[in-house]
Amino acid sequence: MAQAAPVIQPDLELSYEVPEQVTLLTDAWRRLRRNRLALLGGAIIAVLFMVALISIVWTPYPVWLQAVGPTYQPPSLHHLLGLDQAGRDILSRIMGGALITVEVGIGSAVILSLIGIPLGLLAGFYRGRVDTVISFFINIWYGIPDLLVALILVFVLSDALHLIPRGVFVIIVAFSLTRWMDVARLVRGQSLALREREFVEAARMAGGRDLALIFRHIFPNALGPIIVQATFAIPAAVLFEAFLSFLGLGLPPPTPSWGAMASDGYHGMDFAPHIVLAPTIALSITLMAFNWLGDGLRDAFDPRMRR
Amino acid sequence: MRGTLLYIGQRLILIAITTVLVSSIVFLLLHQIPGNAFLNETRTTPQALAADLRHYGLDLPLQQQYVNWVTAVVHGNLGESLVNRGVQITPLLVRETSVSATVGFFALFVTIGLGMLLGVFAALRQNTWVDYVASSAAVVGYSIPAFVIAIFMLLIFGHYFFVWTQGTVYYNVGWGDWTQVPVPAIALGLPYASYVARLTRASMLETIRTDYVRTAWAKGLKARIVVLRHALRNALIPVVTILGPLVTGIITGSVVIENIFGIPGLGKEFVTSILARDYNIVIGVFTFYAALVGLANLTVDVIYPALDPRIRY
Amino acid sequence: MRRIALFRSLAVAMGTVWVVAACGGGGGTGGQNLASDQTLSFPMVDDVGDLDPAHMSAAVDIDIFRNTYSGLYKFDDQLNEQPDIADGQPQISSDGLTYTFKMKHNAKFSNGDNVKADDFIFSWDRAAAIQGDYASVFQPVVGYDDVSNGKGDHMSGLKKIDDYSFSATLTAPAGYWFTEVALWTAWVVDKKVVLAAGKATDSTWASTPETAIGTGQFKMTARTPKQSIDFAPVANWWGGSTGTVTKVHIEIVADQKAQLTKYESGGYTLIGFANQSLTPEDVIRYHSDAQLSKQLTLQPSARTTWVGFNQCSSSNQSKDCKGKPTSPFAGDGNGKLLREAFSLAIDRDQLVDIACSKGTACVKATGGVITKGLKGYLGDNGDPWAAFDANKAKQLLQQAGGAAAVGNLTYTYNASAFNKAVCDNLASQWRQNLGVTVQCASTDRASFFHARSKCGYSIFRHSWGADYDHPQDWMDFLFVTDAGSHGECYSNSNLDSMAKDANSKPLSQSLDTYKAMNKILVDNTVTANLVYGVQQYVAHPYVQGAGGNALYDNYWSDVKILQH
Repeated sequence: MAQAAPVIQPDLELSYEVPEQVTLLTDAWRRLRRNRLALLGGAIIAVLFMVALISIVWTPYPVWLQAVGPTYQPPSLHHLLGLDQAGRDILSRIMGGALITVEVGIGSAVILSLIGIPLGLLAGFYRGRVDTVISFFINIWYGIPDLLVALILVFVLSDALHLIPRGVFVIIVAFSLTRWMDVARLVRGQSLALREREFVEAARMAGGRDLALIFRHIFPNALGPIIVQATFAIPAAVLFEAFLSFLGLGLPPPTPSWGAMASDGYHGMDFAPHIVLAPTIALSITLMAFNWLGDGLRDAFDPRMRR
Repeated sequence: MRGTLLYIGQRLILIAITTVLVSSIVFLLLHQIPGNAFLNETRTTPQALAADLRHYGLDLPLQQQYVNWVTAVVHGNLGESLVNRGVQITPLLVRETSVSATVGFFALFVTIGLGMLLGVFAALRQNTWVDYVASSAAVVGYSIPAFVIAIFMLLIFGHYFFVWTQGTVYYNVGWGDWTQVPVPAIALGLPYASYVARLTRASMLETIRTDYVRTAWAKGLKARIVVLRHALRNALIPVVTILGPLVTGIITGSVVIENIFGIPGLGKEFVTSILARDYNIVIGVFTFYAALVGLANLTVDVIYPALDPRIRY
Repeated sequence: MRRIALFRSLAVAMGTVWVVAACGGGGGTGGQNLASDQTLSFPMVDDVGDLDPAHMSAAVDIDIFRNTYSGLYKFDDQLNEQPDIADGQPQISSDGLTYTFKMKHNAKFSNGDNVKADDFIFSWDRAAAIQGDYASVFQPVVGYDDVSNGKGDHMSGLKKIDDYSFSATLTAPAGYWFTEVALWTAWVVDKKVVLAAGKATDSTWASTPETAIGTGQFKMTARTPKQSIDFAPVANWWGGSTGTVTKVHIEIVADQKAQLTKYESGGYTLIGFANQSLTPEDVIRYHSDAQLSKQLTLQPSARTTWVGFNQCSSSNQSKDCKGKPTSPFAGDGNGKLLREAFSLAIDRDQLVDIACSKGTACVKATGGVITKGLKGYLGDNGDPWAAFDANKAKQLLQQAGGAAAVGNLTYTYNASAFNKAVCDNLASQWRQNLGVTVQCASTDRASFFHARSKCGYSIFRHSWGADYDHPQDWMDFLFVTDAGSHGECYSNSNLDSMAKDANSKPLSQSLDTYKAMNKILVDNTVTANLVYGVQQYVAHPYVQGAGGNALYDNYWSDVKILQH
């Protein structure tokens, strides 16, 4: 009995078929272009990246500077999104938060792919005992409340063992260590299927070594689904960071994390709702954009979904 | 039947092993932390510290502590709170689990009920405004985190409509008043409801397009109902497959939701204890969570074949 | 959000008796029109930590259980020490070493047992043996070391004279010891009951309502851990009246917002008892609203928060400085310039506005490390380094070698919303006013206090809540060489000898010395004093007697609920 798939992606294993090698990208792009929601998502993400880049060199006020005006000041012409409980400019902090979001999202997608892809390739390619061991771990990992383990990992790695200073990186590591299974399982399925294909068979006959087979033939052909899966990991990671920071267990102050900003503001909702609204809306839009793009990519890479 | 029981038995053993394994990892991780929960800025003396360590058995070598802990856990004893001296953890967590479970079940109800309702309607009225509204709601809803929904709901019900609600959605005291359950449960269940809606819509569409349904549809109302029942049953299958992760998600989500609404459940305890560094409780809550997730997955696997006769153990 | 304040104190409490308009328009302050339901109910963020007086150290616990236990002496509203179970002042021998205590004959435990000298000797011995945080109250007593080390179970300095009197002999004169006898560690517990429940050092009896027997006005009647605790007045209490309250119901509600919502709908009598507070947003809302502000009392409390500067260098005599690198803030040269610069660069008005919720959670500290209102306070503006002067600060920093002289700085604090807000603001101000980037790092309480007491942080949060109104409480535990709760690791032989001299004398003769010591601390900028504490209470207009003094809440028996 197979373990049920994670919420983010219920039926990945079923929905993928290995696409034609040559036409893969062009074909996908053609279909993606027709998906308006995905394009909108992509546009929002482009804006997010631009804002993040701009925030490195310029924000209206420094993100850390307090008392630029009265505390809790509502939005005005001078401060488009108003000021927070410490008198900091919220627009500046939303911009700074975009950078944090991009770092956490992309960083996590990369690191968890680095963990999941090799494990999946090994399990799928070698099958047998290797597969049994890796699949066992995948199933055990699915059985734990991942976010909560990640939360404890952040705490232990940075506060207790002082291995990684508390910051974006430790959050990426903790998240990746508890969420690599989706990618691993996907890649395993792909390589299980691909290793039987004629072109792999041919390469093996020609005397190709295992590593070469894996990386020259199997991995490139599984790339599409991997990208889709990694795209879905980004909003999950962003949400994890927001979740941690909202609980006060995330990034240290004055880091302008959206989760932390929401947490700062939500007690003051009665008379200063702008403090909590700005970061929560920014966060929701970002998550939406990544999910839309992810959906679009999945449809684009999956010929069965052709409309 | 015997096969099923055997399967359940095996799974229960596996769950027990996983639970002990996972909480062991947490136990060992947390015991790497230098210092301890007893130092404070009052007049703690070395003797006072030693007395506390002795009381909690923290002066023993780690192996010994671990053996003691596993022995106690197997007997259902999770030890004593480090912060609230004399408070036994197991009964405390059992009580808090019942609170979390109440909210959790309601949330699950919201997720599945609302999700399937939306999904079915969207499928039946495909490409009409009903479909568009339901689908757009779903596509927006599943991206909004539970805590954001919770904040919005608080803002609406706790503030703008305060006169109407009188804050009953907000304070948790004497937990058990049913009026306090819906708002947190909806906040918790809504993001997943949109997810279920999408799933249901897709599988309903697939079923509706089959020939036998079309024929029945053409034949009139009664047959239509019969077939819908079939279609619905088919639509339920993908929903059940994600029940396991759904429960995990609701458990995780409850950590934030309980903190926002001040619900005295496991999730609240988890965060409070981490912040207060009450490691014994953190480990205890974690043990509970691991067991809950395991049991939830088992339940799903047992229900599954009842819905889908193709599956047998 | 919870202040882990050990103790509050400040100013001679201005009576805190509430002049309240009774509901219904009448101006009755006589409390004649009592409501029929005299239940005092209030919420707490977390459950009590310790229920056994020998273990207690948190303000929350002490504020609650001073209603169920008592000792020989207690502090009155003006923080003066008054006899409680004791019959008058003790007789002190001419060498200042032997104290003879006489007890009232009518004192009884809540189960009816008479309180005898044996109970006191038993209680004090077990407190020394249990080694709770405040066991050091008995440190001056002859034989304490043997008991604390587990070599014996009786302090030989305690001698029973008869059933109602006993004597305590000290190893050396200690002018402050008599003050410490009024602390909770010296409360009396029922020897018979404790021994019936287990070993003398066991605490289980204290968590069970049936066996939690004390001599106070109230007794515990029910408790569900992390949910609620209930108390009722002791019938025919030996000390006289227990007031009008017939029941006390405490609920554990972690969410302060939820607490206030329930309070506003009439679910609680008050919020603030047992060291509780409101969220910053709520207290600002109450403070700024003309009607709501009548329900809010801001009581100065005896806690000072400051920035600690590490003083470790090769010439520092502290044991904990051994092997530590020289701190940029150490010494009289550049170190002193830097300390001055960092203190002057803080605009305390801004700090109070932002981190103290516009001054409702704390007020700026301008008179030295000992809190305003306590003995030893230097007077308003007695600390020249607490005045904001960005230009002078920059100048001093340049003299000391500029931002490079301090290198990478991390201000460390134990995680709490208040500490975070303070660090956030300090970092912003130092960056703006000095051009120095300081990182904020939070850590858990345990690791923090451990590392700090070992001089492990170069710049850090430090604060102290007074245990009683005596400057010895500050100097002995914070600033003499190798003080137990130091973090600055300050070592000054001059200060040490002054402390030794002052400690041996009664306060009337030593206050000037203590003040001089406080002045030394200010002159050397050992600390950058930031804020003094404020205790918040909200109570309905129909509630009389809510509030407290700088150290404690009012007794529950002071509370009256008028008709409303």
